Amino acid sequence: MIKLSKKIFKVPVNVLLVTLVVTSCISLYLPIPLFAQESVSAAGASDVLILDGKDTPNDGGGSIDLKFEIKDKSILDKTYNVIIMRKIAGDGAVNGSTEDYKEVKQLDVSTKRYNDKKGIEDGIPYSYVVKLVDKSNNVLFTSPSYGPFISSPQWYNTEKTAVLILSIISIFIILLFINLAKQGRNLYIRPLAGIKAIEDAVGRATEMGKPCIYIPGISTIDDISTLASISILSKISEVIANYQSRIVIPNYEPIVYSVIDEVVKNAYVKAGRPDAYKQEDVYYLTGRQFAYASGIAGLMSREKPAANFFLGWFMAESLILAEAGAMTGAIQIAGTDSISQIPFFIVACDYTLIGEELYAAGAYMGGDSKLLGGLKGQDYVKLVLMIILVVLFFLKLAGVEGIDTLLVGGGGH
Amino acid sequence: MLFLKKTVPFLITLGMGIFTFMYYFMPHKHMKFVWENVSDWAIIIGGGSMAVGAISMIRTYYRKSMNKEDPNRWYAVITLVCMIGMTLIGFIFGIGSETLFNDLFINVMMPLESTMFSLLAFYIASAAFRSFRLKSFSAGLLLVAAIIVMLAQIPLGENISVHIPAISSWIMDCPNVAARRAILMGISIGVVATALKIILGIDKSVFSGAGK
Repeated sequence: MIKLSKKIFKVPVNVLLVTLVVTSCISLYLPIPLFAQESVSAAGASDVLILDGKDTPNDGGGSIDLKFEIKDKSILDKTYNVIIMRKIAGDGAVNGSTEDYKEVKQLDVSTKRYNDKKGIEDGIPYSYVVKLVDKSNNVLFTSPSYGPFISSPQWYNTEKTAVLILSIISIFIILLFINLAKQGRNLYIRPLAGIKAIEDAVGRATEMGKPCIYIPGISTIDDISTLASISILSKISEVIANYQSRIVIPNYEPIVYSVIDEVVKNAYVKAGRPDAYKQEDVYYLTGRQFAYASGIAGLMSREKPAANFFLGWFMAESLILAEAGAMTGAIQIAGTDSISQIPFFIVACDYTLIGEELYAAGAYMGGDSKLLGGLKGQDYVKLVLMIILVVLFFLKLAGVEGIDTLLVGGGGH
Repeated sequence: MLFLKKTVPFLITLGMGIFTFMYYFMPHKHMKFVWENVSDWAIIIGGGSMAVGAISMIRTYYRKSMNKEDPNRWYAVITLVCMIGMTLIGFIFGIGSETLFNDLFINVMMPLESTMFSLLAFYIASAAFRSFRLKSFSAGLLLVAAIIVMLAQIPLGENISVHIPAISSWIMDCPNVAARRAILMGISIGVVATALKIILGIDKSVFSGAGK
């Protein structure tokens, strides 16, 4: 088994080991256990009011969750507001006196929970007192001191365990197929018409003596669709350089422009034609959405390109671009993972790469076995996900509890 | 040189990729501190890159405007004049409210952008004309669904039949959502695979110097 895993993970295992070592080092260095929720919970009770407090779970610290309930119905009926007061436990006067307590929040009587984040420091014990007041702010009841409650940060968000497990499974499958492809295993990838049409479009442009226009979308460099677009562009630029054709790339984002400039330049170098690269054909146009659309529409009507490529992230300008291009009679190939814009591209372009096909195009065009292996892995991850969804669907039909929230992650930070 | 162009960007990508993955699962304040600092750096780099964009734009349009054989060179001249004019006005009179810069932006730039946006209505009509042709069974299904959904958006739809809004809601909430979710799941898996290939350096096409 170890031999097999070593064989399969010849290269990526190094990276995984580094991650493991770094994580282990951090966990050893830290006084707080990596996977344990250090949570101090304490409850206090009186005949009138019950208060329970604990460290807020799965957070970065500096927060205490308070839950309270007014038991006495006669006081509850008169109460208008609930005042939460706090002090550092052990400081100041004797328990029971509210002198040293400072008001942190005034809540409506219907409120049952409060998340105290105001000036809370980790590791410090806090005591709470709750005052119930009527409409005229007369104090109806002052609770005894509750606590101490201690806040602490967590290193791991337990609500995201399902996401972590699925991520690990996905990464494992993708790496497995990358390594199988590297070992020379023949992996069939379904051909995509849009990808095949890209080379034909460049050939058509060369024959017609007209340029191609490439639009990398309006997103930033940290967007996967932009990176996928750049990956495709690097392959198209090589074909353009080999065919001695011309490609014009107006950019929306300055960082994307800088990367694209380098990538296209390198593609020309790789094709052995660095002299053919024209710097004025790759340029920054504007950072305003509709100014960008009008600039490109103007460029299309002046240059009359033979092929237009719209690959990346697009918004409302997608149809303006695609229709302006269609009017020039150019062959149009689009690809986006922006779901709302896919229908517009489908109706206005000759070929459309839908969603994930955009990510697959770069790998498919290059013919690199490792990238193709990644694509195959991607398909198998989809298969696993489909099986999981079908199983969960039947479990839900069978009335098993908790299925709805099983795959729901814990949200952002 | 290849080390700076290829290895250094790869190492930075690898480190930041692993950190970002870990940050999603680790809410600790130390992780947040590093994340916020890195985000600040991204903003600084983004700001600095505007200068790169401006230089590129000026260089490209200056060359175009100087090419006397190009009949379209006046467009480049107008672009340069507008860009330099707005920059100078901003520097001299300021960019706050009730300044000349702001007036030009509100009264020239925004109406121009709104005009471009309004063109969408005409483009939607021409695109709909092309796509709603009854060429096949699938195109027929699309046509029927589109007619029902469009009728449901206007009062006439409900007047024709009270069922039209209900059918429209069903089309939007069931088959439409099912298709969207299927595409979204594919996109999500694709994002993981693409990110993994870039982070681990398997796909090097986005790194400078990859072609050498």
